[in-house]
Amino acid sequence: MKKSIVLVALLSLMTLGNKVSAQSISGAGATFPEPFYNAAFASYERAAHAKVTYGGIGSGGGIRSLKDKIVDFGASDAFLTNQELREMPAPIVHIPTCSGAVVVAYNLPGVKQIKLTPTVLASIFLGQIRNWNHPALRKLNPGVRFPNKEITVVHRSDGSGTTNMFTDYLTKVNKVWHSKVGAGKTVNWPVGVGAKGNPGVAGAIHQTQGSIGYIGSEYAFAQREPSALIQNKAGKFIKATVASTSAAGKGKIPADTRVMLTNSSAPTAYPIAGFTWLIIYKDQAYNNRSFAQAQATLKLIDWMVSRNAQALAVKTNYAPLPAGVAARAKAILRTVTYKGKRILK
Amino acid sequence: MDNIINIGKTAGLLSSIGYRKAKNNIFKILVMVFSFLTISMVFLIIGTLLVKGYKQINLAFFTQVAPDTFTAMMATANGEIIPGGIANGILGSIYLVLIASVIAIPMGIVIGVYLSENSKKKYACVIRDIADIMQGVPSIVIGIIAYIWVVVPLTKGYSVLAGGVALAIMMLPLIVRSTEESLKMVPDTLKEAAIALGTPYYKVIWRVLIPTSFSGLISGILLAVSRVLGETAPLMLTTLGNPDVNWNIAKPGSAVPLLIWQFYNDPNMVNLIWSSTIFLMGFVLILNLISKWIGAKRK
Repeated sequence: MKKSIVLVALLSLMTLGNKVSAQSISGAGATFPEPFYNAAFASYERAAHAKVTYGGIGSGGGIRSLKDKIVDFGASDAFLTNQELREMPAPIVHIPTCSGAVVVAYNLPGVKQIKLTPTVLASIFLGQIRNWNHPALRKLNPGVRFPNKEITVVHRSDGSGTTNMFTDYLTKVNKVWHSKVGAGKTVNWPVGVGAKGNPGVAGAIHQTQGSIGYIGSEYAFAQREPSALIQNKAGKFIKATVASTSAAGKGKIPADTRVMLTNSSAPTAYPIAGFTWLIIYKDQAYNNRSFAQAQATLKLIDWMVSRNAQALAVKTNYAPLPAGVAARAKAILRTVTYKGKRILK
Repeated sequence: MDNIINIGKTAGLLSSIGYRKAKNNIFKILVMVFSFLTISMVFLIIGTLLVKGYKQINLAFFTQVAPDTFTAMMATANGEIIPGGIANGILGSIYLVLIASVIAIPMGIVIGVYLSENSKKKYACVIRDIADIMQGVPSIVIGIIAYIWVVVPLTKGYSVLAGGVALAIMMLPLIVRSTEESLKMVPDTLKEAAIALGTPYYKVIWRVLIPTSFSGLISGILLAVSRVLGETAPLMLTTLGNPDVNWNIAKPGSAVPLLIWQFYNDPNMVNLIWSSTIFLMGFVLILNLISKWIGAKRK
């Protein structure tokens, strides 16, 4: 027994020496795009012979990993603030890979479709509108027979990028929300009950008549959760779909793509949407990484914003990048260097 | 008059016996209800897992790696079972535990022997206290320590080795304490007889102490292994996960609990959670039974 254990130890030490050179890329970070990334990386591995491992350890973990230079790329649902960028040991670039939305789901038996304006949505989550029979709701939805029922607000109990996107939107569109609650991965909710993860919130909504809550689109689309139409900046009531989420990226985007897409000015855009990013060092020569390793990393990310990979995003219920943003991403990738020399042509 | 007093006394006696019997019965029922609740919880968990997960358990479940989201989604949409399995997780978990064992078992047994042989010394008491404190350290903290010690400076990336070190740190105090306890069971007369025959001290330990308490050592080790098999938090910070089977100790590897976490985050893979959990529970249960069986054989 002991001899065999020693043997295994020796064998594993031997493999330590000779397998490191094989082209394998590792990344870590956000859990939100993990299903898309897993599908995309598996497809890339089958086609191009580069192995990719990805761990969904949270956006914070992804940024930390890149900071400690232990991964080829990090992944984050929130772009790094100027302060966070300064704290990184070297300049980094953001590459958007896809976008997602936050849908507003509800449980009202017999009610097929409801419309919400930003003000009404904020009022509900602020606890100012407490009954489905409220005049504001009836005025917005003339054909709908609302029950005389108390509204149960369901929100996330764990820290989440979904909460961040939702509260960022409410902060942008509602002054009271801005001054009273604000935006963040966790906030001090004025009303409502907490539930863990998208599955938790969806489950609580299913079980509680008269409830309303917000769910990440990657979950809501896959489970075909019914959701409310939200009025966007252009005044149109928009249903959350892959297409309307994607459209949120069609507005004005800064050169480094660091922007929250919430309350997009694009006329067909669903207003509660956002990019998710891969982050890499602008100069890839760190920690004795070889040129081949840097090149393999960039080729992978270049492929992620290509048409093939973006089609896979749609298939896994994520919104693809608009053509303009994909082109921007490709341009950013071509500024990445290895010891000052460009890697991709 | 006397009669009345006697009747009164008997009645008092009877009522006190009745009271005691009633008290007895109440506690008996309470004990039964609570133990039934505890047991039913276990059966409820196992039952739920079996009902929800049995469909996914087939040969491919043990021989193929985890599917990607898209494959799983198409299968779920067509009402088929999700193809693929958790072979990368199973082999990854076994590999991790082997690495952890290589580090923790020799060290743990040596420390355990020292503690039982010098149980009254101050230094031994300090070590014992440290081992007890280590058992209570949250596993995520141990993950962070392995991250700082191994991931960043040594393998310069997430690696199986880092995961093995994290699990070894968790196993170490368990093995130390179980070794000490089972060595204490060895009768002093046995040791005295060996020493009286002029056996050198190291041989007394190697040939008398360890062989006589061998079954205790093994069952302690198995319990430590089954304890760390289900750990998720320290592995997220160390081995990261891997869609393929990986034998390279310096590269990220997979593990069953990591796969369960990944399945939880992916709305299309939910069905795989139950079957993976059945496997993990079954594996831990078998290890526990083996260690119980070895323990019983000793007696």
